[in-house]
Amino acid sequence: MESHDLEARYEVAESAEVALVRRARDGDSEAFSDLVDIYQRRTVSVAYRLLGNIEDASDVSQEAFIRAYRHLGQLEDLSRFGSWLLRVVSNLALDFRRGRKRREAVSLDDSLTLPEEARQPGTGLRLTGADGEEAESLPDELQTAIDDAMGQLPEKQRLALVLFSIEGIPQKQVAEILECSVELVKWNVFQARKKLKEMLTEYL
Amino acid sequence: MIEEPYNPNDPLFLASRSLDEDLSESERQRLEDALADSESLRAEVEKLRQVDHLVRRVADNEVELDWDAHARLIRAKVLDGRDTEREKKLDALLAHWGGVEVGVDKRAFTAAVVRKIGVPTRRPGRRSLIFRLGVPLAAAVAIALAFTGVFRSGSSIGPISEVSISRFAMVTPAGGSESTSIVSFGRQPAESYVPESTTPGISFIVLGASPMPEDYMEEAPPL
Repeated sequence: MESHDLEARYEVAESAEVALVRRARDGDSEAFSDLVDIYQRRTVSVAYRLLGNIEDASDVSQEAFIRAYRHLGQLEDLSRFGSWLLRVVSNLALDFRRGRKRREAVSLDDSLTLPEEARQPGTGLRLTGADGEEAESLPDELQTAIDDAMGQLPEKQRLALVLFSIEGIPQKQVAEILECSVELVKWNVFQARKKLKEMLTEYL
Repeated sequence: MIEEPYNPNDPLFLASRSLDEDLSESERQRLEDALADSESLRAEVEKLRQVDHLVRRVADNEVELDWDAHARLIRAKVLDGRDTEREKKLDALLAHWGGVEVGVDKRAFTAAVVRKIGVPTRRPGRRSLIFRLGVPLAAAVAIALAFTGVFRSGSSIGPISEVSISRFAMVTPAGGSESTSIVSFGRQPAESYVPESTTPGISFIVLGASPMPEDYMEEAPPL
């Protein structure tokens, strides 16, 4: 019974989002603004995990929303907006990282950089735990070692690990984002863990 | 790096999936049997578990920005191109400047601008005349500089072939917005003409000539 309630609530939430996407597709800017509110954290977070720089992540997130808005009419299944947007973000972040099309990722309005007020003091990144309290961060050396090791993973494995293990996105949705099977998501996560195990031996 | 082919029966793969509580009963039993038989496998699984723990520690840290400001920035970028009220005001300014209805005939508009700034001779008082036309300050200064550049560069340089005006909004720290315009003069080859430019504003070419683009950027009066 409880499970049915949850499913029903999920369906309501999903249908509400589909309605938003439909309105945004039809030119309702308020609806698109609501989608920005819903997804901006996730898009910046995914980009940050892939790029390691908060300002680049913010730029990539903004570019992803711009592209999503321009190409919303091409989205056939409106219920997959989230997966579609995260695929755009992931691809842009990887492109950015590879240095390809770096200039293309920045539109004419080059001066539209992150406003001062959008930044946090210091690095621009604040780390918080699930309860909103300041999280106990990993020792710098270990954090750097993990970042370096993750940076050496093949792109699909890194993406699978970031989306599934770090962002906590269900495997089915990760499969949609990566446009592959759920089994391949599991395999890529496994391969990523296995490689990290070798690269981080001295910390285990 | 050689990629390992997919092998659903790899015991370590089962161990990885067990960390995600993703095993069926039969798979769990198979993993337990394999672990019972191999000390080295148990050691590897323990390392895999520690790796997963480290990765999840990374996940515990959430990225934080001023999300309201960030959302405003995205909205400004995404929705600026659809601000029809500003479009109308800009068109009115350009119509005043070029003397034609830009929305109706952009080519005629460019021709009018080029007539004003692209003539191959320079008469005294020309620039001051342009300023008096009520042209937006940025555009006038840009025209004057481009005009000067034509003559400083010598007679071998062809006439101005492109006039483009692009504008964008910028969110201020106080949450408002400021607009800036870029007026560009180019001498792009005619073959680079793109009828449906992706840049906001107006961009088109009337004459092909030597490839020496010139750009000038200036603050424009608020639209």
